[in-house]
Amino acid sequence: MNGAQENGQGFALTLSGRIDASNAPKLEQDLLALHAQHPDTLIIDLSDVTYISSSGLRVLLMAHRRQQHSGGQLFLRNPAPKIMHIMTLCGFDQVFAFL
Amino acid sequence: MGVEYEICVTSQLSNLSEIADFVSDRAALTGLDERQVFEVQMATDEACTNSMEHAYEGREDGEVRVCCYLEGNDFVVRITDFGRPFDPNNVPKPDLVSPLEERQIGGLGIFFMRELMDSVEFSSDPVAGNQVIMRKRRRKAATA
Repeated sequence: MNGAQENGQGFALTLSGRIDASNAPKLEQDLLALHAQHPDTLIIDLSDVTYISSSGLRVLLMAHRRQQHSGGQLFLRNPAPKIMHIMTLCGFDQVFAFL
Repeated sequence: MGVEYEICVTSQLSNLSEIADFVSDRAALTGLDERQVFEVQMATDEACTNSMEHAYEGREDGEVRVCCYLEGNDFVVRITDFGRPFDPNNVPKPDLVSPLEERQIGGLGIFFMRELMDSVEFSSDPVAGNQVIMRKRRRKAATA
């Protein structure tokens, strides 16, 4: 996690760099903590994410489920084309909401 | 087979980024385009993650070797570990059809390896270790 801030649309978390199996558990912990504080709308900005592995995608999927279970929503913002390519391959483009 | 380039690291997940840099550099130097380099990097990352998390079951003192070479028009990545034998047939296929809420999470790593590369072969041998050999066809001839 590189930054988080409240804006008009909800609470926005900005990620950057690589998200792989080495740091996905830390991201999961960060998102769990954020969910406890912001169970409604959470935005994850992916503009500066250069790579995401299946471990990172699993963390995003779990976060999405948590938000939905609490009656909230998770939005993904600005994934780079190569990140979107990966999400499209596994069908995540159809299940996540994008801003 | 041309010149082989190899990196050997311990099975710590923190080494994944070093492996990614190594494979990306070699793939780019052999003429793969940017999209293909990214795909090779991801497939390699998933294979090495499997070695570290499953073959070595989280042990951090195992050995993971990643070797790259050209064979004909194919850029080849060979990943070797000496952990628990791995049978890809035991990994369930990922659920890409059910609604998000119902999806089982698992099997995505091998799914990506197979989707992103032109071929993926697994083997397991008591001496040679577990090996994954993945090939990516170059779109046009280029010099190494």
